[in-house]
Amino acid sequence: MTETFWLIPLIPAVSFLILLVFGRKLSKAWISGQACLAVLASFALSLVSFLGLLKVPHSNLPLVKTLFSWISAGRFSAGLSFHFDPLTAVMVLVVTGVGFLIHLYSVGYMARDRSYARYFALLNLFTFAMLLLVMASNMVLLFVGWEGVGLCSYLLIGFWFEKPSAAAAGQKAFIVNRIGDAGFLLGLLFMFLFVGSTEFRAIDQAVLGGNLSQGAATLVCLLLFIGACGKSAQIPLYVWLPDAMEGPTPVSALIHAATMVTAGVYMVSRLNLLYSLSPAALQVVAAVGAATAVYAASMALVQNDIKRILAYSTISQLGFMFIGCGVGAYAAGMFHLTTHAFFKSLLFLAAGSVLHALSGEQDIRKMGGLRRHLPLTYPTFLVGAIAIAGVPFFSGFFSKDAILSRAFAGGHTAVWLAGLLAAVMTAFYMFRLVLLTFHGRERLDPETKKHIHESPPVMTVPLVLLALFSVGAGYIGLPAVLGRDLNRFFRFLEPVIPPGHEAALSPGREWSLILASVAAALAGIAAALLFYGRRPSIPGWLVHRFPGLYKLLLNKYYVDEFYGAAIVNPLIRGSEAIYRHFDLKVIDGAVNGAGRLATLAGRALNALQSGRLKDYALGLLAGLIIILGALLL
Amino acid sequence: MIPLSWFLALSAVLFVLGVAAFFVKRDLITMFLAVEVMLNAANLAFLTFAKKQGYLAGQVIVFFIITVAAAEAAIGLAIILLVFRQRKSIKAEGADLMKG
Amino acid sequence: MSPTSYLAALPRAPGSLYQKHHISQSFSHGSISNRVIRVEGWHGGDAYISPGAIDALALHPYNGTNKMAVTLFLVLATIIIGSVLAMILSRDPAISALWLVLAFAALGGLFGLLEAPFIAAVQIIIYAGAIMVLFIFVIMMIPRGEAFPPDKRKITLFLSIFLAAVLAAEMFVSLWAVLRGDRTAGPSGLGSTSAVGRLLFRDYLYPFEISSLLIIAALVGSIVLSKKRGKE
Repeated sequence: MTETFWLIPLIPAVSFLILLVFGRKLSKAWISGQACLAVLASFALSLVSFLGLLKVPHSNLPLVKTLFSWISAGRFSAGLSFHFDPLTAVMVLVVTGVGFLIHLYSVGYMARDRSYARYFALLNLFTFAMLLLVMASNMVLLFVGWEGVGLCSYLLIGFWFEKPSAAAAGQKAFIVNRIGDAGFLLGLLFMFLFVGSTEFRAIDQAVLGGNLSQGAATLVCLLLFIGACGKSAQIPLYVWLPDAMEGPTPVSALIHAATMVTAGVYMVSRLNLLYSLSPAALQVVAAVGAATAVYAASMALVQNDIKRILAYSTISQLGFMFIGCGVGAYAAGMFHLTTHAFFKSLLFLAAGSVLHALSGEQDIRKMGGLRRHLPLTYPTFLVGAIAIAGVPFFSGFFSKDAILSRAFAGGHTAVWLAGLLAAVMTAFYMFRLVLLTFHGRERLDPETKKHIHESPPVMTVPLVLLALFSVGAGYIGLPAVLGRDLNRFFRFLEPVIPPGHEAALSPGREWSLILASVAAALAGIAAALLFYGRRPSIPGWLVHRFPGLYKLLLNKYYVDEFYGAAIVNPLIRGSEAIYRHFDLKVIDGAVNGAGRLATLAGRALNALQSGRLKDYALGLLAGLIIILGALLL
Repeated sequence: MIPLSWFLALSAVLFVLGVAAFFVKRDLITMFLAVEVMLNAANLAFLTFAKKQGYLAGQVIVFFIITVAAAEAAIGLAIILLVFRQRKSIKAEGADLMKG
Repeated sequence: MSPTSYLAALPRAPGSLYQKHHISQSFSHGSISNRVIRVEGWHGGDAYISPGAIDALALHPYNGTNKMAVTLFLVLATIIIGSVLAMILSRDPAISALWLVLAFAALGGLFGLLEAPFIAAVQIIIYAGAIMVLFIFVIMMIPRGEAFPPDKRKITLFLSIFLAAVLAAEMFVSLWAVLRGDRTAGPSGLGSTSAVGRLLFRDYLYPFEISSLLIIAALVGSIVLSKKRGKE
């Protein structure tokens, strides 16, 4: 039953078109019903295709369906063709599944928004673009989806575009992404140059056939990774993600936690054979991932906006995923992508529920003791926090452990240590967030307190479902110590991601690594409980003792200011100078000058038309004399 | 008989006189008369060449020129009348409404 | 036979009035046994003339300047140029128009010298007769100040009558000379009426008809243009 997999992206696309054209005339009930059903239909279709895939023998993979030949220019050709294989199946299930839950949640969250139709139209468009991205069978079509999600991100971040900060955030996201995309395009071009095609099958064949030199592979991989840094918010192109929190919270959950930002990880995993050809590129990937993980976590330690903390957390977790890819454990990276999709979107949606209850208050210093008022939101949020912290038996633990043990096994000790440090910090800031928001003294604004209310079921049901997944999703990827073949997830991905050749760890080694991860998580949680539970004076004392460090962290290492001064402002001033001296003076001068010339010529010739008969006759006579003279001479 | 060049010389002189008259005179009617003089100079030239080459079509065209001159005189004088009615004068100076 | 090819076939005598003087055999025609000279004209037109008529009409083949023609030319030219100059110098438009009438009449005579009798007649009838009269009508419609009182001097009256009588006599004599005798119609030469007529109604029929349309247009146009405002 996998023959219809190519319909998966098209259902949300059709829904988008309908909402685009007729949105304003449809009722809210109709819009929400149509949008959610479209994604649900895609999810059902994905499920069916996935089940069918399990029966397809490995040699037939991937399944490809070409809709039509899109580009055909000389040697270069790219078709509008979709493919379906285990990796795509994972992504498609995550996108449509989590997407559906978020669509459902949005019905409640955006219930009173003016631009209801536009919101759901954009969500559907995004879903289509993301599905296009993961189901593309060649890099060009993937890039179309890549750009599409970038566009939707811009449109959705700036959804409330009347707010200047939202509009600016949308612009920032798009422009920073553009920089990444420049690298992506270059990589694409070089890929075509070296491989001759952008079809994934062709690339894999080129790699396996030994036709690709290591240098070529390194170049392509690094350039493509620049694109991934932009899309997946790694150093140095992460700056747009914190600002992207200006968008509605469900958008943050869907795009900036579960799906779009993971496109970079998907791309690297899709091209895992190419990346494995170039150890240098992999080292870069791992290093950047590790650095970003620690760097972002450090900033999350001191932020006071609930959504910003989650944003930096996302950046940090994406770093984890790239660590996984960088050490060759692509499947581990994908595993973390999956679990992260569940618990991060859960955290964002729960945060949205808090915002909904507090009429939009986002500062955690003005929260506290909310667990009494939000009986459903609090437990689900707690589940998410525990999962992300890496506490055993919850999904985050399994995926993080997979990455860290592979890192250690591959000999990348520095990366492993960095990951461990980031894990500690993750646990700490997440529980800081939980304690400050839901426990302790109530520091609420009296006005806000008056309207406090739990969210409607349409919002809390997705939370519960996601919480269940955050717990259960880990069990598809049990670590090797518990039994070689229990890691169903990795085995499922084997046709696409061949199992690594790194040395297997001894069970003792593995258990100690697991212990280290657990210890890290618990240490972080304990510290948070101490700082914000038992001894609330400690944070204040630390700030007092290390004011410079605190300011540095609070102001995000002044990176935005640095970019502004070093890159943005010189560009703006340069453009303004060019505008003043070239555009206005030369180009406008030429155009206006042509106009003025015409006017002058007109005025000069105007003198010839005096309206007097004699003058005209004189002209005739002069002309006659000249012509006769010319003829005679 | 008579050297044809004399006729042509006469025609040229007449034409120049007509041009001079056109520029010298200030009222529209006399300027129009000068135009008629120029036309006749042209007729003379046509006939001269008709005789020189023995080509009778030259005389035919003079016939047509006279016809057209008659029609033109009728209309032109009607226009001058209108101008006079409008401006109460037939001076050519002030009639520059078509200026620019 | 087209004119040009016809001409090309004939030999040319320098300055001759007619291209060819064909003295043919005498014809005996009943009691009239005069020798007839066939004079070939243009465009296939021929005339049969008695020898005496050739002298009378001065149809000699021609090799030099004819004094009479030259004198005529000079007189007419002087009249023309003088009249035009007078037209320029005169300040009164009416006087200018009258001088121009004289100029056009003299020009008509000059056309006759150019072997274009038909055109000469047309010139005098239409140009001097109709167009200039039209001019004078219009000039009269435009007030130019004081009208001159009519000239009541005796000499004017005497001169007018005398000149009118001379003109009448001349016209009578020439008409009688033409109608007397059995001579056929006047010389058919280059610009004879029949030749021009033949051309007008054959080769140039279209322009002829169209010019009649032109005249109608001018007629209607001038009436419409000069209608008084009140009639709208």
